Amino acid sequence: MIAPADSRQDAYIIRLDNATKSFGARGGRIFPALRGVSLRVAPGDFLAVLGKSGSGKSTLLNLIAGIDRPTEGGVRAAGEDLSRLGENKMALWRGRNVGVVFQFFQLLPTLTVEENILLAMDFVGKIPGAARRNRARDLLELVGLSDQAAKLPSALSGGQQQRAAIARALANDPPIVLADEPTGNLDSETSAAIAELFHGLISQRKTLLIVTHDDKLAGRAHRVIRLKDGQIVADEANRSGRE
Amino acid sequence: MNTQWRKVAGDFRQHRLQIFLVALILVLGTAGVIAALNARAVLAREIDKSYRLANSADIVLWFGKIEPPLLALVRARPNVAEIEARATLFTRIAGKSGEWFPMRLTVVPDFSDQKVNVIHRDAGRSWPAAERGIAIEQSGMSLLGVVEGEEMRVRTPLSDAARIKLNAFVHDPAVAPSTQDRMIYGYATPAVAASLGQSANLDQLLVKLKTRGSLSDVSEFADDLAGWLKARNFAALRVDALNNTHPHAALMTAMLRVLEVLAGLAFVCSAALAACVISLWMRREVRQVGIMKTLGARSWQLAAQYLALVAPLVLFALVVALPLGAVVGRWVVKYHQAMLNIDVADWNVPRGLLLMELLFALGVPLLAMAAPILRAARISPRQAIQDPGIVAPRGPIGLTSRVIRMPGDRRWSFALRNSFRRPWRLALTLLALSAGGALFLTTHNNYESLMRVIDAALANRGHDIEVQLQRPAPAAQLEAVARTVPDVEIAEAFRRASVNLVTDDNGSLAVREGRRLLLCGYPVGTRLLTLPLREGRWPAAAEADAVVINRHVQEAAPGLQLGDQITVKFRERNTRVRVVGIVEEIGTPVVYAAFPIFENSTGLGDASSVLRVKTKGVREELVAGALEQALLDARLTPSLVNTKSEFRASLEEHFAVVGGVMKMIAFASAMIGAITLIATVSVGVIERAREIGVIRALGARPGSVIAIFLVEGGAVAFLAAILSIGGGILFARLLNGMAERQLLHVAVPLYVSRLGLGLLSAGVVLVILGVWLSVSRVLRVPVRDAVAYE
Repeated sequence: MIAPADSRQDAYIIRLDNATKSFGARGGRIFPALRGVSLRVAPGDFLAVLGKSGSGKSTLLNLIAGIDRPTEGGVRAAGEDLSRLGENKMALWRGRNVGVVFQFFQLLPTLTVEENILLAMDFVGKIPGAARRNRARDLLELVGLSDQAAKLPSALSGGQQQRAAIARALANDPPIVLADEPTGNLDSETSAAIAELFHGLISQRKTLLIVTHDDKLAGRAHRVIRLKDGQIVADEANRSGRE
Repeated sequence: MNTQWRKVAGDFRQHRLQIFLVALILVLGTAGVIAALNARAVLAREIDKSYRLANSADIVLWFGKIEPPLLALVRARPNVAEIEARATLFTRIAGKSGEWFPMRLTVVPDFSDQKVNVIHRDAGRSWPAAERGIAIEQSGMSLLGVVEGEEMRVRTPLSDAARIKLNAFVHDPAVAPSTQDRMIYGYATPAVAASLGQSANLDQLLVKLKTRGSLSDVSEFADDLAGWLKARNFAALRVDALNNTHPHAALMTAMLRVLEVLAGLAFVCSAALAACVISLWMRREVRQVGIMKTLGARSWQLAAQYLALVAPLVLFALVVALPLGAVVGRWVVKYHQAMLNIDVADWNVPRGLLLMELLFALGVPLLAMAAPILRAARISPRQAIQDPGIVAPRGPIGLTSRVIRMPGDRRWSFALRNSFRRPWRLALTLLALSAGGALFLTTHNNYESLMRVIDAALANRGHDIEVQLQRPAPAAQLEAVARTVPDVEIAEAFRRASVNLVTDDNGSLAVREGRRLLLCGYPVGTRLLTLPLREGRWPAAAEADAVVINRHVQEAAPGLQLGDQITVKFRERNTRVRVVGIVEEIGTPVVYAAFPIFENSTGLGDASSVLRVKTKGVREELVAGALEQALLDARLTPSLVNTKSEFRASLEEHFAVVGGVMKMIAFASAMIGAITLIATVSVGVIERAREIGVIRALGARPGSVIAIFLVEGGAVAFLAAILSIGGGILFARLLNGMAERQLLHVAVPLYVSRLGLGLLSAGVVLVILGVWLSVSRVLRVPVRDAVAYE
């Protein structure tokens, strides 16, 4: 079900209005990755985005993260109309308001786990300098990696790296956390632990959007959106996820 | 076009800046190797051939006059290959501008039948009628500014200016270029010499041996020959066993070494860049390698496929670099030809070398590229498909993460650690950059150290102008003429004679064979001999055997110490003298003796051939001009008028020969290093596209990302600058030491050139600017594209 348009803009932390994103293809053809998608997400909501490959899941996440801009339509997130932001302001806005978790963790290999988190704070400057190290340690404790703080990512297992990546995504205390296949590269036991970690973020009033093929992770979401050929074909509440 | 080639074309389009930079370095590296190898091959062959063409004498015997019976006797001696009688005179010649230059005039009996110390015209040009004029060594052409057939003015011993036609420019491959020595080399027949008022007497007998052996062997042969001739009533006034090397032999060897270093540097840079380019490509190809392996491709098939893809780049580099290298190589040979005054008859590069260069230009880049290709081709499909896109560091990452911790902002620690991520790439970039920087600084440090020493040495001299006369004159007459010249404060006549040191009978003092010294007679109570004493004292007036030597004499007679007695041999006269003082000066080996001791050693009487003058602080050139005119008016013809500034300029010219080549190489090396750094940072941006995407997704603004890469590039440039300064000091010390021991024989303290440091700093800024320009262009990629992995 497609969410109806709502004039109460502030009630939603994420709002897409008829957002379309097209890419130029070989031979001058246009390939539409998203077609007139409208979406409302309330603060503290946990959305799982499902769909086959090429359905537009990652494009949707990129639009919300300000990594990409819509060809048509509008995107508002965390109180900001993203179409109005230039490259620099967009970067700052993203650092303050969005935490991104990648499938392959993407921790920076020359920095220790703790430094990876601190670097995210350094870029944005939202957290005062004196408080950053304590916050990094708190986040590592939250994800269960206190004893791994001084290690390089290469010394960690896949699950530990993803935990560290989640801690990094939370570094600037963003209200929105986006994750693209966060358990796609992990075994089922580790995936379950990561899913538990994501679920715990709800209690911190974080809004979560997770692109996943993992049924167990999707099962914990409040809402499940299904995309097909760049359109939302289903938007269902998931009661089990709220329990 | 098949799929693979279409893919290559696409990669070229997408990364044209990086490909251009890499192609540029491949071309520069390959062209550098070809240029250096070509130049080295041609020069090594032609320097030798050119000098051999001169058939330089091994021995010179001096007589009052050489008659035909003497020639017949010497020619018949065993081991004598060729002989020729000649004479050498010193006079002055005027250039077109009116400036007078000193000229060494060699009297050649027959230009068309030269046997030893042969001079020649350019190939295909015949000798003009020699009786009508003089010939001039071609390196003097630019100084004189005249053309063949023009009339020139030459000073006669009676101070007149005789007019003589310039018959021909010739090449004497055994002399240094006139431009460096500020000396014109002229050649004339006895009749022409006589028409210039000079003696037509041939007094030197040049002897070329069939088998030469060492200098000691030559010296022994010369002494035997002189003894044998003396027994037949042909006593030689002087016997010189010659080194038979070009005056710039050491310089030539240094030049060839420098070219070898240049070829080596170009070789390393070329290979390094080849490896860099392929590591970039293979980073991008890892996932596809995995897919192809999953489809059944074997490692060797993939390796062959990728090697075939890089071949066009290598071929392109070869096609451009081959002619470019040949042109640059030819230019380098031309530069050396002028600087060393050699004759290059054959410009062709040996075929074997050409083949080797082709193999190098194709083989080295391909071999260097083979390593990363093989590494990527052997990756397992699982590793390849699961490759996260962020490049895993290969260096001592644990160590750098512990050592490099910048206070505060993590960005700078991150950037600095990234500099050490690819240790081999870093090492090669640093090698190229710091080699260039160090060579550059060495040149400046060495040059400024030497010039400071020269300035200090000139300041120690008591005189500003030295005049050498064609014919000796009484001291009082010379001094009286000089005192009539305005602004002359002090004028003193000195005497000089060329002498040998004789090895002691007891063998306590070994004298290097063939070394001649200058015995300089000074007036008692001189005010112009003010050289600072390094050891001992100046002799007291009453001392009948006390002399002072300069450090060069110790080089001619190793082990000679203060207080030692030495035997000075002038013609047939041996005199024992005692060393009571040692001075330092730039020049030749000189034994300073007061007039009474000089007279005792030579018996030449009151005949001064040198006049030294101190001015009242006015422009020495003006005083020198007036002094020359005054001497000419008094019929005392100078052969050489040398001011302090001319002496300085001449030495500066000599240093410029080596300095010029070093600067050229430093520039080439630094340029390759700079382009390497810019290219590797730029290549790194592509290689780490995903990482940049992640940083930007974390909230880093484009300016922050550029700053990170600038710090990375800047750290490398800074490190290279530090290494350059260290290398520049170390190499300059070594060169200063060599100059001190082998050339100047005065202490050469190190001076670190501020100009060099300033230019090096400017170079670092330029390199960082280059990094910024290339990185900011590449970073225009949207975050979406950067984050997207495939």
